[in-house]
Parts: sequence; structure tokens; C-alpha cells
Amino acid sequence: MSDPSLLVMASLADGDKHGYAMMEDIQRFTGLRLGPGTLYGAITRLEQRGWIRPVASTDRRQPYHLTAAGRQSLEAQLASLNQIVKAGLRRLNHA
Amino acid sequence: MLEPLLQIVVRLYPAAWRERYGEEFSALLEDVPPRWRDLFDIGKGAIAMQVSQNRAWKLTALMGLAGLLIAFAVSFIEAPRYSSIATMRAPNPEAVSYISQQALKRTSLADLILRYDLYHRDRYRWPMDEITDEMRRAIRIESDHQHPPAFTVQFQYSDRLKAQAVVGDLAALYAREYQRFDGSSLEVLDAASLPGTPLRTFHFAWLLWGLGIGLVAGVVMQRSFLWSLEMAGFGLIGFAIATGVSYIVPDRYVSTAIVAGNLSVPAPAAIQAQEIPMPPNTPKVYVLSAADNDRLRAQYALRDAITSVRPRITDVIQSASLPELPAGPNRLFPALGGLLAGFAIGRWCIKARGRQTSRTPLPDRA
Repeated sequence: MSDPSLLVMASLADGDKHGYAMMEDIQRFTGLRLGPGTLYGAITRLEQRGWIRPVASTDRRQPYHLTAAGRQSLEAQLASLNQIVKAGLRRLNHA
Repeated sequence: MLEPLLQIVVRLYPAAWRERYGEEFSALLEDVPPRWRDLFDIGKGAIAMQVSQNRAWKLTALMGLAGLLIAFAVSFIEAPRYSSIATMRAPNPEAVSYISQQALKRTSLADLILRYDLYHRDRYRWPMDEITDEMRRAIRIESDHQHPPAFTVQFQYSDRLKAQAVVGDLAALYAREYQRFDGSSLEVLDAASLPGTPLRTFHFAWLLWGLGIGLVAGVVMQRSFLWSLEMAGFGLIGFAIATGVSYIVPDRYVSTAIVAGNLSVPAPAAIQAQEIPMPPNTPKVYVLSAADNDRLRAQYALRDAITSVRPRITDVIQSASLPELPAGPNRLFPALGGLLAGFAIGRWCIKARGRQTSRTPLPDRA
């Protein structure tokens, strides 16, 4: 659940954000504070895969947007996680 | 204080990455309250980026170069060795073979060692048998195929004058014994040479080893760089702790003396006596040694012991030495043990952490 790429995509799912806003948002919904190096490592990988893209901005703070391919990938990952969570909970209840 | 450090670490990122993300990354660092752990996080990110951006070959080459340089430096730590050589001609190979056996006998070599004070430091640490074995390995007696039936006697040693003196003595021994064995004279074609430049024969092999180990380390680091980094950290901590603990055990100094006489009655306690094999009908020669944590006390103890057995000693060939270097304890093995223990603990910690952290199956790593 602490994969930085997944957290960045989840953060961008409700709108464009720059690095610091992503960091704050992720800390709010997971309690985890991503370090600057970890955050930009994830941003670099996601941009290389075409799952996020930079949005035109005049500010030094560069906002990012979740692309259609990124949204699709995020949905697939969350669906997979959802299955795992459901299966795990079911088994725990039966145990 | 932390901000300038963070900016320095950011420079570890590849130039192309800084070109693309540098400005916004600096803006992020200005917004985020600086923390010491971010220093490590950014450094880790920079290394990972260097490795991922097709720079793995650079890391491998860098490690290979580092190994090469370390091997080159280490090879210079080794004391230089000089080789003296003498060439002789002897038509009777049986005589040469017989004399070679006599020359390489422990008694002959021990005599040369004592006469020229060879392997001075080693004699304080190791028994005479091992010293004579070492000397035997440094002597080469070979046929000279270019000028049959000539043969060469060669000796390698750290002191060029002593190397020449030993080869001169060996050549004299061959000449004397050949006359006695064969009845004819042996011809000395080249007398014992005085070596000029030292030998460094191990250089090339050491360089190859250094390069090979460096390249392998580079490849291993490519495959799992962060894992290797963590393991190296644990190993170094184990090494440092074990080395530190080993220094709690005090140094042990050994004073030695060489005496001739009859010590058939046991020497005083705490004194060790080792007989040196000598030719028949000659007085027995002993190496006496005393150990103590203080080098002066070791010397005094040995002097007292020699005084107490004085009536049985005919000659003190070498009086009780003042040891310069400690003979023990061996701190290399505890340090290596600490290194290995560090690796083992590191492996266990990384494994335990992996068990505690449930990881999501990652599409980007698939």
C-alpha cells in the first residue's frame, strides 16, 4: 500500500497537483510522508510511462495531470487491491 | 545548514534529469521544511536515478577502476624484494643435486638466517621452522638451459646487500662441496650479483584481481544497488564493532634470545625454549622467548630467565630483544568475523522488514 507510484496516481485522481501539494495530500490520506527523492523518483517513472503529464504553468511549482492511460492503470491496480482486501477480510472472518 | 547540503546532494542526480526536473525539485525543497532524513532520501533517489538512466555501465566501469587503483596502491605497500643471482658450471649433475639438498637443509638455512640476521621481525613472531620454510621458498636453483651444464642460484630478499651475501655464501658452499664430492673444481661463471631495481612481480596479477573484483562488485550493485548498499553498511558496522572490541584485549609482546648450551633441564615457567636443529658435534642452540603485555617487562623477564640458567649456557648468541611490534592478538580474524556477522544481521533485518511490509503487486515492475 506504500508504493510511491500508486500513491502519486491516487493523489492526482481528484485533480492536478504540484509536488508539494501531492506530498501534503498523500500524508493526509495515508499518514505517510514521502521524501522529496522518493516523490520525484515516482513522478519520473510515471511520466516516462505516460501515466502522468506536466500541465502548462508559469510557476516554478510544476503541476501534474493523470492521463487516461494512468487512470486506467490506477483503476486496474485498485481493482486488484480491492480483490485482495476482500479475499483477506473474508478469510479472516472465517478463520 | 541543511539547505546547502541538500542542494549539494541534488547535484548527484544525472545532468539530464536536473535539466528536466531541477527547477521544480528546487521549488519543492523550498516549500518542504528541511529534515535530515531527506538528505538520505534525496541521495538514494539520485543513485537510483543514475543506475536506472542507462548509467549502469558507468557504475561497473567506476567500480572496476576503483578496484584497479586499490590493487595498485596495495601492491606498493608490499616491501620491495631484490633478487641476487649467481651462475655456475658443473659437469656432474649428481653432485649439484646432492649439494642442493644439503644447502636447503633446515640447519644450513638457519645458519644463514642467524649469520645475516634475516627475517628479523618474523623471527619474533614465528617459529624458526616456518622462517626456514619461507627462506627455502625464496631460493631458486635452476638449470641454465642456454649454457649447459650451467645452473643458477637465486635468492630474493628485501635487503639487496643481504640477498647478495646469501647468494655469495651459497655459491661458496657449492664450490667447496663440489670439490669434496667430485674431486674437480666448479666454475663460477657469474658471481653473486648486487641487485639494482626491486622486483614487483605480483603487480600484474594483483591488478587483474582488483579489476575483476571491482567489475563483479559493479555488476552486483547494478542488480540490486540499494540492497548492496544496505548490506555494505551492516557489514561495515559489524567490522567496526568487532575491531573496537578486539582492542580491549591488550597487545602481547614477545622478547626472544638465542643461546647455546645445554637446557635439557626445563627452562623457567613462562619462558619457552625451542631448539634449533644444528649439525652433529656442535653445541645445542635454543631460541628462548618470553611474552608479556608490556614490551619492556617481556625483555626483563627473559633477561632474568637467562641469568637463572646461566650456568648451563655456554654462549649468548643474541641477547634478549626489545620487541618493536606486538606478536598478538590477531585482530584480523575478529574483524572479519564482525564483517560476516554484520552481513548476516543485515540480511536478517532486510528479510524481517520485507515480511512486515505487505507490498502491492506493482504494474511498473512487472
